[in-house]
Amino acid sequence: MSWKNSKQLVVDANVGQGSSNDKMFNPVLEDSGSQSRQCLQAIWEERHVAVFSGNLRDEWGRHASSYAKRWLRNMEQKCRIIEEDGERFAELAIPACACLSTAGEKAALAKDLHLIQSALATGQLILSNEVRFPRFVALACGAVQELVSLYYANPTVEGDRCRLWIKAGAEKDADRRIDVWVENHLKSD
Amino acid sequence: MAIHPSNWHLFGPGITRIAVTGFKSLATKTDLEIRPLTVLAGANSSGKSSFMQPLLLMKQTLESDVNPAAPFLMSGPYTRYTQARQFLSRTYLPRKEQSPLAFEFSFDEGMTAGMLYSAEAQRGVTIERGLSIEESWGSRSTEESQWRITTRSTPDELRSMLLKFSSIPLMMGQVGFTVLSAVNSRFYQGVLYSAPAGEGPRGEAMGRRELYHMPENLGLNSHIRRMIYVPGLRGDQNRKWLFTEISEQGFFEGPFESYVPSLIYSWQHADDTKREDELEAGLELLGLASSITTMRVSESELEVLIPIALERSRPKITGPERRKMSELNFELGKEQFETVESALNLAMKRSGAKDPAEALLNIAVQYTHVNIADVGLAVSTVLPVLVALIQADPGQLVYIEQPELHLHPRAQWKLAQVLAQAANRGVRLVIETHSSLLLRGILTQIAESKIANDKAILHWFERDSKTGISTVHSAEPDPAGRVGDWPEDFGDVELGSDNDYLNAVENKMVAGTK
Repeated sequence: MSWKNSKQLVVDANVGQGSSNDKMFNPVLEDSGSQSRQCLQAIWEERHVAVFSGNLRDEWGRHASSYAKRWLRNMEQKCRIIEEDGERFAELAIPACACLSTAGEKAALAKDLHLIQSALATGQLILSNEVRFPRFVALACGAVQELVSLYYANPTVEGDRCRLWIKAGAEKDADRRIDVWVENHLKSD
Repeated sequence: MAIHPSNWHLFGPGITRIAVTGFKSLATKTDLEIRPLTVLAGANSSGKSSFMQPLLLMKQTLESDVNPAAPFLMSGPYTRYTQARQFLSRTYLPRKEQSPLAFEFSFDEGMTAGMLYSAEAQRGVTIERGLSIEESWGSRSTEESQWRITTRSTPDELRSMLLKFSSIPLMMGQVGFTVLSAVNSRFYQGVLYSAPAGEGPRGEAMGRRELYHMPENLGLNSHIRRMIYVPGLRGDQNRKWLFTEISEQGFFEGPFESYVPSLIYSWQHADDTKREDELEAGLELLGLASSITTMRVSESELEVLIPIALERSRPKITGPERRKMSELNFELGKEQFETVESALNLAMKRSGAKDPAEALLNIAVQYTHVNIADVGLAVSTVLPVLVALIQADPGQLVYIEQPELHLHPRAQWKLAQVLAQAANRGVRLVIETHSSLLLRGILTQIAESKIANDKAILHWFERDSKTGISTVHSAEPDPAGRVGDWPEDFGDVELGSDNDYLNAVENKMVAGTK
């Protein structure tokens, strides 16, 4: 990408899934759809690059809303999608999962490890609506130093703040480091 | 009739580059590559049509029986100017920074032709300097030699230019080869020379003769005259069409639309049904009709009909079958024969059909088909597009304004397949479009390897809001059908409009619950 401020973000499939207004018929529910869509729109407008792995592409293919599919198609056309499996970081799975106590937690982290691998191999930025996954990563940060270099943003939890961060250049702000982010946003859970 | 494939090489790859300067919003030089699939896109009034209008001016000048005093016939079937100042660039640039009107073309294997004009209030446009280069023979750099031929050039200067940029002196033998003068011919400038007596191509004796070296002699005229132009204003809902003559050389003078019914008629009566099959496949692909037929309704008129049903209801009757039917010898009793004969005679008399078989078909289609004037505009607007794509020979330039006009989104998207097929045959397509679906269809064809990415080029036109001058950004799609930072704004519009709509719906629904 030639755009000077563009960043490389791993965009989780749940952001694509939540980007429609499927919940408009029950607006009493907290609506993550709108927030996710605003974030995708901001990525498009600021010419950021989305990072996809094979796994992530499969998940997008299964879950993406019609708006998100159109977003992805336009991003592809403009060469703003890069493929990165981050295979060289696969070996982090064992020490990271070892930090977790239950088999369920380990399985949950392993399932989304491809996000970590892709992010570590590119811009270290992850955009996702997950709340469990960042918590597990934060738990593993003490043992696996590489994970501390990950930065996290969550449209549902943060609301418009997340969109504004993307619009402002998706910088690696200290409060977005994944362990700090968990501390700030999920501490009371 | 179209040119036989064995003669296609005579016309080369066609026009491969066009440069326009000083024409309407193209105040500075706009130099664009023309590939088999060339897309011109951009906002309204950004200069897309202006870029192709010089070719149309030339085409209508060449087709005119009248030799205008000015270089161009300004008002005709393709352009409607009355004074040159209507198309000369008007900008806020200081006078010394303004570029004069100039056109340049590259065509076939290394041929370049250029013309530079001067404009005066009283005299209008006059040709100032010309250029004709056979690059394969002379220098490949057009810059060093540009605009060397002028009416003030001396014979010695002209001779040295010809020796450098043309194979003529060698072919004609340098002994006795004499350059006489620079000459103007319509919108070209060239060199008049005298060739020595000698043998012709077939060994025949030829006396001393005077010849021209100018773009028209290098083949540019043929490309311009053979250009098929399908304008944005089309879709005439005529019930009946005049039978038109179809040129063997592929010349279509005047509105191409008026040739369409006769071309279809000729395909349907040809031994080879390939073109008719392609047309019907195209209409079916676009979801418009399963077939199409023409009916001769008088000695000089045709009707174009499509079936009422979208699915094909009867086997296709080919050209040879039509002829065979007319030779059938029915074993009929006298009474039956007289009945049939009188019915056919009546049908032939009323319909203008040439033979009984045609009369029979005409009767049949009246119950199963409707005139295209009686169906939606899509068929009559897309028909000239499909016919032009199928009729054009390799190397022939086909310029289509808004091929997607009146088409349903699905048909716009599918139309890309037909465009890719024509481009793969070597036809040079220049399409001007506002359809993101058509563009996406083209990029999909590339990603699916239906057409090579290097056969396509995309030119995005923008106009500076302060100066009014157009600029163009060009991009070759990559093999995956991606165009990188090519600044088309279709994606912005699509995502922006989706987002606005979804936001508005959500706001309304949330407000409704409070």
